[in-house]
Amino acid sequence: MGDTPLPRLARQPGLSPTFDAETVLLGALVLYVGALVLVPLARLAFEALTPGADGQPLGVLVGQWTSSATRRALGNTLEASLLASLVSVAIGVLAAVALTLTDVRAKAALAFLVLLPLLIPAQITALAWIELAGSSSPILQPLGLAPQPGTTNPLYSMWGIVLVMGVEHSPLVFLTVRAGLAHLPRELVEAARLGGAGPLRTLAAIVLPLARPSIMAGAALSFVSSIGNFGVPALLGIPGRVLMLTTLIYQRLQGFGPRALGEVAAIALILAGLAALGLVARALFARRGAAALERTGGRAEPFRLGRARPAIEAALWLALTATAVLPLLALVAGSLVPALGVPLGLHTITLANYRFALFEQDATLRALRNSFGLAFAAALVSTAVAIPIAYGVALRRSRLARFLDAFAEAPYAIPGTVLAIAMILAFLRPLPLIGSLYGTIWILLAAYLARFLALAVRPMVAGMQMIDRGIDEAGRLAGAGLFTRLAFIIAPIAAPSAVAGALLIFMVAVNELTVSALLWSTGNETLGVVIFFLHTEGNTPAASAVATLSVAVTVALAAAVSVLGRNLPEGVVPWRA
Amino acid sequence: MASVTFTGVSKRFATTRAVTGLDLAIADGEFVALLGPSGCGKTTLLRLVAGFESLDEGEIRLGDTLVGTPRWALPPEHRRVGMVFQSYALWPHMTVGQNVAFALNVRRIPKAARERRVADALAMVGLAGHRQRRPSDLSGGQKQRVALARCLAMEPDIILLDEPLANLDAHLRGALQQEFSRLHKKVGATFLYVTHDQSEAMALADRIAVMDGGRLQQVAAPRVLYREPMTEMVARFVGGGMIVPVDVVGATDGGAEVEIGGILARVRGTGRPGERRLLCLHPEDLALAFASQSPVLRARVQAAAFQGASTLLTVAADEIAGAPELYVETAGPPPETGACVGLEIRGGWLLPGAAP
Repeated sequence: MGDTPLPRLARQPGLSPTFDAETVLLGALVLYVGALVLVPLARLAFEALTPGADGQPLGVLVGQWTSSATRRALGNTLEASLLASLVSVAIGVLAAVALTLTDVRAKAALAFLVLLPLLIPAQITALAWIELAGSSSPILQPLGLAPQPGTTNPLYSMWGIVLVMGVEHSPLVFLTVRAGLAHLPRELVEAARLGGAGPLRTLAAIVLPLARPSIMAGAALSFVSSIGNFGVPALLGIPGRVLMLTTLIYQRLQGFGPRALGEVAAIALILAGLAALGLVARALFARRGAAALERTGGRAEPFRLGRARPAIEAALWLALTATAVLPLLALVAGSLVPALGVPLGLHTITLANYRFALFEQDATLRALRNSFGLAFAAALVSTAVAIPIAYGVALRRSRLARFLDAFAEAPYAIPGTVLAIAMILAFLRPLPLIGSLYGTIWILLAAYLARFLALAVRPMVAGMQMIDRGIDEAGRLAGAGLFTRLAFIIAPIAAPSAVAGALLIFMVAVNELTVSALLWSTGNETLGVVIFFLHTEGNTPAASAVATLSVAVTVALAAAVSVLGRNLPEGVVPWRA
Repeated sequence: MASVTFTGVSKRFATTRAVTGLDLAIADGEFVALLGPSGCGKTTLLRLVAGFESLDEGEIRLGDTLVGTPRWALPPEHRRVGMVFQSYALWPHMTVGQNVAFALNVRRIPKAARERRVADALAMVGLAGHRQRRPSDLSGGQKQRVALARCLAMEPDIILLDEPLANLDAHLRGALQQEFSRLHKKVGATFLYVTHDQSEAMALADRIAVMDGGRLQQVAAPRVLYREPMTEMVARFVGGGMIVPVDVVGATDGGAEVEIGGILARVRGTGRPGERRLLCLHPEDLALAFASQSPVLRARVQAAAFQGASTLLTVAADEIAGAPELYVETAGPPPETGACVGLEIRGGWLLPGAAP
């Protein structure tokens, strides 16, 4: 520059105004994710890894690892999760093969039935199955298949947990395998057919071996979900005296309160480690699947089932009705009887349970208000936070934003029980200005915000990756600063993905139980908690009534997401083909 | 209005050097085309002017204002630079009028002035009646015109155009080229136009800056670039020049005498006898010799392409080292493929620097 006069703007070396607003925004996002995700998880690890009372390194963790109660719960968790994954794989793979590779009719309706368990929260699924399999089952009793009155429900057992969790998580396998089969190169199938292999031979020798990575990835996902499941083991395992890690943590914390935090943190860390193993396995399988199959021109022509088609269709409808529809019918029927054990008939049918739940019981009303408020706030705030994160990831390719994106995944990937313990550890002690959040509704909000951020970020990133970077750059040249561009250019274009993500969060959050069961307090109940307690207190008809209402809301929201998602890019609506 | 000055500009991406040690001064109001094969760094240079990329070395000035150094950059928002994107980058949720008005809203231009500027800009590109339309309702050519109008309404000092015609049909390209020319004269802003199409650059630009491998090869007016390329790359890339090795045998007034494949020819350029050099030939420098008195270069016809008024022959000159392929136009009935013809050399340009 030498002797030329310095222009006005060059006098700020080291400061790059290009990234000024962006630095401020990213800084705020780092604080948000840090406070809600990083600090709690770090506190959990710290607490679980502290020395024992006698100063032994890792004493707390070693103590729990060697305790017989933890051992038994760990064994139960592994056994139930592995067996449930097998059930999920059997249902998911059969359904995926039938719906992608054959010419069965009404595929959309069948796919809806396969996916239905994914939409229904675990505790409601469990409750519905309890109603279905109990001695007063409105479906089995008329058929004479119900257990004798007075006997315990056969689902209150390891096998009950395995069956219900297996059904609950089968859509995860179905979605993964369906995606894998859709990418199967058509030429491979056609070459086998030309080589003289019949449909079954082609399926066994070509299709299934090639789809193995996606089957394994789906199985791993189902395994991880089973490990973290709380609703099913809580409703079926606690009365059946089959404790899993999630229910063990719940019982310890219920019994001993925050005094047991050290122990439960150690158990939670074991649970998180188990989930991490499953997630790593899933990532490895998913990568192998992607490497083995390259996307090609079109899908293979579906196998013609010929004369066997009506029989196969009937079998599919029957099986899927039994797993997806009958439990829900039992749930609705159970909500219409005056008391547990009374058979449903024209003379007994009543709406008293709905009246009780909606107008007479304070806790249910409060829970309704709390859950809707929490879900609304979680959806709104998470979407608002997800827009700048996704903008940073997709349009600015910022490394920090990608880092935040990765960390936002963690609280959703780990079991909710682990997250809840981390939240208690982080927010139990009074903090400057805000005090202790434990025992208030705010700890529930903090946990929901952490847990569901990933559900907002994922569709938003998928949506924004379809936007041309020039769209943003043209805005910069027009003189618009970062916040102007986010408000007037980026947000309007990303709005459909944002709304889809927000509805998704609302739908999941309004039914949340796993996290809420550990963080609720009197006056701060949620819908999931109320259903759980109504049932455990013996008022199963009222629990069924609340659950039925929840399912209605959920299905309506899912329908809204599906309609809205029709024109959105792949990856925004999780269950879309 | 502003000039653009690059001084020692370098830009690296993770593994590649996109721009290396580039010096270039563009005058206020000039129309300069950045020309080169894909990956030559021309788009990176454009994005450096806009402020989308940061410099690794050197500095960039717009007018007298320093806008970019390795440590500091004026944000694009404050550069008064407009850009027409190859993808158009129109905001899909706004109407044509809202697209054009956006920059004026951001700058809080009063409503009356804003309305007038939007109307003027749309009129200038011939889309006065399309104000309420959505970008999705427009054809490719119309979208590009809206992008241009959006840029003009800002009244920027500098307008950057990033391969603006690459996505359009051939017949639309010609029409829009004329539009760019007319608008450049009318608004007087500095135009910086990136393209890999040399005929587009020749038709539009006051000067063309040819880039290759991140380095500037030559900056010159189209005519000069065509007639007097400074490097083999420029000679080949601009006007499809043919390169043949020659020996200089003598210097003439304003030219040189060279020996090609055993015959002598007078060409433009300077050389000293005894030098081994490269000669750049264009089809018009060659002619078929039917009954020439002077000695001719012998060649075999390999292919003939009918072009209407003439036929373009591809011939192999076996007497030149490496038997290079040459192109020559002929007006009469073309000779058969495989036939031997004689070539007369009427001109050519001696590239500076010794032959490799």
